[in-house]
Amino acid sequence: MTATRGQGAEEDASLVTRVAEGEAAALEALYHRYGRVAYSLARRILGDEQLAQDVVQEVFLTIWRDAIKFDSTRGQVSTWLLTMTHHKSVDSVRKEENLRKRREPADVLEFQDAGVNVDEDVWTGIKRERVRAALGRLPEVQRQAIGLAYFGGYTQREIAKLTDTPLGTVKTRMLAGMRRMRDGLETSLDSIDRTREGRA
Amino acid sequence: MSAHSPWDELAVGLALGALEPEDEQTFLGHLSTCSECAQTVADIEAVSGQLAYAVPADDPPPALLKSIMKVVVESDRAASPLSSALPNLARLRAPLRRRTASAPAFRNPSWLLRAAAFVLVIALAGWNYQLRLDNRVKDRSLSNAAKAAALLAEPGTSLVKLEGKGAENATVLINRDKGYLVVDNFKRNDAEDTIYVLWTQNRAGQMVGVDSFKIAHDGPSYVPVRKPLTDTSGTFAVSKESGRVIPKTPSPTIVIGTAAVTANVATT
Repeated sequence: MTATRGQGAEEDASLVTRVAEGEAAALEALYHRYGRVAYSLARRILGDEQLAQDVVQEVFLTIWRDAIKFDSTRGQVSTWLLTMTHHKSVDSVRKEENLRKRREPADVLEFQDAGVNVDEDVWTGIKRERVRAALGRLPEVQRQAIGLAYFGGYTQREIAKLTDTPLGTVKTRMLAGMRRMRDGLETSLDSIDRTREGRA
Repeated sequence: MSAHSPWDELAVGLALGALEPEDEQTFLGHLSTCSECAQTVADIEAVSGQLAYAVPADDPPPALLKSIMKVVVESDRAASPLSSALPNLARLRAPLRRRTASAPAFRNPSWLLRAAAFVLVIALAGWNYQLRLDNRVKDRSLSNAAKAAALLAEPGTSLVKLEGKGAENATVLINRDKGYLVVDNFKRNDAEDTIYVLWTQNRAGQMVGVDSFKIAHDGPSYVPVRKPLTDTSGTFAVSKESGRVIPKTPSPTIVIGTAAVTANVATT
C-alpha cells in the first residue's frame, strides 16, 4: 500500500513533529485521533479493559518519548501507532498470566458492533466497512490464518497446530492473504482519503 | 516459489506479530541486511495497521487520557540533561528556534557549556550511537556540534555507523542530501600533509570522494558535509590520503559502514 500523502497523513506527521519538540498538546491531539481505535484493538486482543488501557498508555508514552524516531518517508503515523498498539497487545496477551484471556479461535473474526456510534468520525466507520469487506473477500483459509494471528495473537506455529495444517501452508496463506488485502484496500482506502481531502 | 519466499513468509509473520521468539530473532538478523524484506514488512504493516479498523469501536474511559497526560507532564518536569536523550534533544532544538530571529543559537552556546559533560544516547533499531559533546570543544566545532544536533533532531534523519579495526569510529547523519559526519578517536593530522576523506558508494557501485577534512583536536569532531549527498547507496567510508586533493580511489579505509534499511517499525 502506498503511503498516501493525504491531508490527514500530513497533519498527523506535523503533530508527531510537534510532539518531538515537546508539545504535549500535540500528543493529546493524536490521542483524540487514534486513541479510540487503538483502545478498541487492544481491548479486542486482550479481552480485558485494564490491560487494554495499559497498552494504550504505553503506546502514547512511547510516542512521547520516541517521536523523533518517526520517519514520515517510510510510512504513515497511523500505521506506526496502530502497529505499535498491535505488537504491544500481542506481547501482553502472550504473557503466561494473560494467556487464558486470549480470544478463542472460533471468535477471532466475530465482530459485533454496539449499534451506531454517533460520535464516531464518519470516515472511520467507512474504513471499518471497507476493511471488513476486504477481509470477507479472502478465501476462508487465508482469512482464518490472518484473523488468528492479528486478532487472536496466535503465532504461525500455534495456528498450524490449531488448524492441523502444515506450518509452511499457514505461512503461505498468511502471505497470500495479506497481499490480497493490500491490493483490495490500496484503492479503496486511498479513495476515502482523497474524498476526505476534497471535502476538508 | 522463489528462493526468497521463506523470508517473505517470515516477513508477513513479523508484520502480523505472529512469529515465535526464535523465528523473530532469525528474521531480524536477516532483515538488517535485506532491503527486499524491509520493503515487504513495510508494505504488509501498511495493511495490517488498517486491520485495526475492523474491530467494533470501544470507547476508552476518560481517565485514560488524563493518566497519559499526567505522566507526560511529570516526565517533562523531571527530565535532566543526563536522563533520556530524546526529551533533551527536544529542548536543544527549542532554543535554536526561539533565537533564530535575533542571535542564532550556535553563536550563543551557553546552553551547551552549562553542562559539564553532555551525553546523547540514541537507540535506533537496536543500535546504540553515542554522540559526546565535550565542554572543551572549540567554538567552531561547538557551532558544528549544534548544527549536527539540529540535523539529528529533524524527522527523517538516518544514521550510518562506520567502524573499522581500530578505535576510530564515525557516524554519518543524513537527511535527504544534507549530511554531517561525527568522528571520534581519529588521529590529529592538522600538522601533516594529509587529509581525511569521506567516501560514499554511488548507485553505480563506485566509491566517490564526497568531502575532505582535517582533525585539529582530540575528542569528537563534527564535520559538515559540504557537497550534497544526492547519489549514494548508503555505504560510507573514511580513509586518510596524502596531500590535499581527494584522489579518484580510496586508500584502505579506516572505517566503513552501510545504512541498514529498516522498516518504519516503532521500537517496542
